[in-house]
Formats: sequence, structure tokens, C-alpha cells
Amino acid sequence: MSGVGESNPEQTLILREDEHPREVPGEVWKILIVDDDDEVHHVTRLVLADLCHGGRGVCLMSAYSGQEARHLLHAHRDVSVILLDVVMESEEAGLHLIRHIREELNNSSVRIILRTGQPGQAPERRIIIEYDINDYREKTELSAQKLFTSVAASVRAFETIQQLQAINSNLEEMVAARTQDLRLACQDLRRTAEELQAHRDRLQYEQELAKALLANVHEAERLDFPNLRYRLWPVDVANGDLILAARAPDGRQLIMIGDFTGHGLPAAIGALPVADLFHREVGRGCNIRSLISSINDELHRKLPRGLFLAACVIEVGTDQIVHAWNGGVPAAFVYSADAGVRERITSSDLPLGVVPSGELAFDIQHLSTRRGDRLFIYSDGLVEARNPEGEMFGEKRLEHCLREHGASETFFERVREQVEAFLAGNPQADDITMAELVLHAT
Amino acid sequence: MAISVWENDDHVAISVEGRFDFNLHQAFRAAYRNCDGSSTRFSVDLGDVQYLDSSALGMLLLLREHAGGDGRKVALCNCNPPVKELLKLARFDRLFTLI
Repeated sequence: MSGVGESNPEQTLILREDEHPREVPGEVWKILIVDDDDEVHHVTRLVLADLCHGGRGVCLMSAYSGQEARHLLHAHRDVSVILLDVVMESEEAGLHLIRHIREELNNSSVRIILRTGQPGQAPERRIIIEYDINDYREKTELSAQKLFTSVAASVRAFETIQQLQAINSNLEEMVAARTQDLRLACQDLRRTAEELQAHRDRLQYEQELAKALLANVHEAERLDFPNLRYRLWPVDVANGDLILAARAPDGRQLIMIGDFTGHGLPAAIGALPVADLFHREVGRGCNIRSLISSINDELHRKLPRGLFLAACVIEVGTDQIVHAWNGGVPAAFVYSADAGVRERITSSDLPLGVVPSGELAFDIQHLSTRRGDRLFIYSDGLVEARNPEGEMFGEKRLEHCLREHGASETFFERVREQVEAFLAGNPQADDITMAELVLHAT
Repeated sequence: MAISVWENDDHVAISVEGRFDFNLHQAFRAAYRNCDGSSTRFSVDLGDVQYLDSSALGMLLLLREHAGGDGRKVALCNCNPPVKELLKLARFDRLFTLI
């Protein structure tokens, strides 16, 4: 009985295997007969020997105890059906084997047909509920035909389970591959986002640098002339508006308003030499023409092509004659409270830094003025402010403002209100700079 | 596309559409960068430009330099009135051929 398997399981295992016709995995259905009765083995082999399913025959293996079955199952993970006796080396040796298979070997696919000769030891109702078996047969009722049918059905069920497992594992592989793809894509995205953030940080740093540079230029300006008032209305980013004013040793006053191409750092870098040069040249008494010429040459030499300074330069003589040059900014005005706009100083030359000074027209207007006249200069951000419909504020509206509020103390505030009302919530796109010079001021 | 380019033997025609501003910087430069500037005439069709800023003027200056600094070789075509006004404000009519 049980002594066979216990004496030398390895030995018996080899002996039993010698009986098997072939051992090529996958080509036969392995069926394990576990019973301590040699006769049962003999009869079962007779019944099942010619069982064939799906073109594959069977390989019948025999174990004579639960212990021996464990060894065989350990060596043959692909057993499809087990015909299992209950009472062998112990009362419940077969039941222990079921637990071992399902829970320790973790094999849920092998079909187990419990075949007992003593149903009193293992009542069907209790067993089928408590143990993961697939069929329960009493040896007395199990005819050859019924045995054959039960095993054949079990082989088919095992095959289906195997197919499902293959599909499942294939799906799992696909999911794993797809997950890996997604993970890589995610990594790429994260890297791109980090790169973008780095660019953004650098850009922000450059913009802050540009703002600080321009702020230094503006701060260094001593625009404390009693006859000059001005207002800078910058947008967040340093856009490069520039206003400079200085008095020459002989009393002439020079004012310049400028707007660099582009935004940020390039504009700020351009502003530095222009401010220095402006003060140096005016300080040594140069006139408007040579001032324009030296700033233009400096910029043309030093700025990369494509970067230039649109500017309006005004010289007010001690005789209050205004000499004015405009290269690329909107018209400046001479106006008075009573007569409105009397003179327009329109652009008649290229912006500074585009061509060598020899190619500039130096088309300078000379305007005589009278008491009460004021000069109003501004950057293009003012007239080019756009409302949500894309319409520009324009010179007409500005002239209207000048007529209405021109000489008043709150003129700039009125202009700002008008522009804000016109923008109607649209953001201001460009710096706005305004300056007003009272002529014939005592 | 905001920028389209047609090329034949000695002529590159660039067409700009919409807002001509700093955002077109790379695309505009790419339109002519590979042409031999010394032997090519350029035309820039601004007919469909609704807006042009100083960066655009800077880009046109770069094209002019690519063409050897000769304004007769760079034509600005179909400028609508606001665009023409801005080009004249900056006196770019002296640097380019406006047609």
C-alpha cells in the first residue's frame, strides 16, 4: 500500500516513468492516476490508453500514494488530469494532496477527479464544497464508459483553461509592453517639460535683467527740468522705450524719445550706450545734427542688423526756436491751449542704426514758437494701442485729447483714461511714453 | 502657413500672411537663408498682412542685408494702406522698392 512510495520515492518515480511510452511535453495529455490499489491502475490504463483529444494522445502516469504524487507533480507541472483516490497512506491523503496542489503548487488548471471507494470517509457534499475538485465519483458507480467520458471532458476543460491562460498571458505581455511605451513617452514629456521650464526660467531672468538695465538708464536720467513733464507707462516686459533730456552748456535743451526694435534684452542693451552718448555729446555742446549723427553711427556700428532705434530728437534754442528730427516715430506736435495743434513733426528719416550717417537725410524742421506753445512727444505705443476690434487709438483721438485737455495739470492722466477706455479691457501691448515741454518758460 | 515661398532661378517670392511680428522671425529667415543673396532678387508680398511691428521691419532689414544691402533687389509688394503708412513712417521706401 503506502509503503511503496515511502521507501524510495525517487526510485519508484523512475521505475514508473519507464513504463510511459513517451515524455515529450506538449505532445500528449499527461494524466496522473493516484491510487494505492494496483488493480485500479491496471483497469484505468486499459480504459484510457486510446484516449485522444485534439490529435494528442495520453501519457498515463501512476502514483501509489499522496507523497509519490507530490513528487511526480513537482517534476511534471503540465499534468492535465488527476484521477485521485482519497484514502491511501492516511485517511485523507487524497484530500491533503488537493490542498497541496491548489494552495502550495498554486496549480489551479489541473483537473482533479476524485475517485473514492469509501464515500463514508469523504461525503460528496462536503468535499465538493470544501475542496477545489472538478468531479467526484464513487468507484462502484464508475463504469469504463463513465470514466472515459469524465476524463475526456476534463482534458477538454484543461485545454480550454490553457488557451485562456495563453491569451491572458499574451494580453499581459501586450499591456506590459504598452505600459512600457507609455512610461517612456511620459519620461519624454517630463524631460520636455523640464527643458521648457529651464528655457522659461532663463527667459524670465533675461527679461528681469533687461528691466533692471532699463530702470538704471531711466533712474540715471536727471529729467528735472521745470518746463518738462513726462510719464512712462511700461508694460510688464521691458519693451525698450527711452526718454532722455539734457541742457547744453550754452542753455540749449535737447530731448530725445526713442523706441528700440524688439523686446527685452536687445532693447535694453541698446539703451545703455545711447544714454551715455546722449549726455556726453550734449554736455560738450553739440547740436542736434551731430548728436543724431553720433548716436546713429554708434548704433550702426554696434547693433546687429535688424535692431534699430526709432526716435524723435528735439533741440530747443535759447531763442525758443525748435529744431526737430523724426526718424520712425509717430508725429510729434507743437500745440497751444488756444490754437490747438499748430505744427506736426512727422517722420522724414530712417530710424537710427539702420544705415551709416552719410545715408541719412538729416531733414531737420525749424519751427518758430510763441508763448503758450507746448511740445508733445510720445512713443508709438500710444497711438498704436488697439481695442478688441483691432482698431488703433490713432493720431485723431490723440489730437482730440490735446484740444480738450492739453494744457491742464492732469493732461497725462486724461490721456491715460482715454486710452484705457479705448482698450476696453485689451491688454496694453507696448510701452507708452509721453513728454510735454513748455516753451518760452521763464 | 503665415509664410509661403516660391522660388525660381533668380527670384524668391515670399508671401506673409496675418500678423508680421517677432513670432515669424525663424520662418521668415528660413525662407531666404539658403538662397545665394548676391544673384537673387527677392519680393515680399505683404498684401495679406494685417499688422506689422518694428520686429518685422528688422526682419526686412536682415533680408536686405542678405541681398547685399541693395534695396533695388528687394521689392515689397501689395502693401495695404496701414502697412504702407508704417513703412513710410520709418522711411523704408528709401531702403526697399515699394510696388
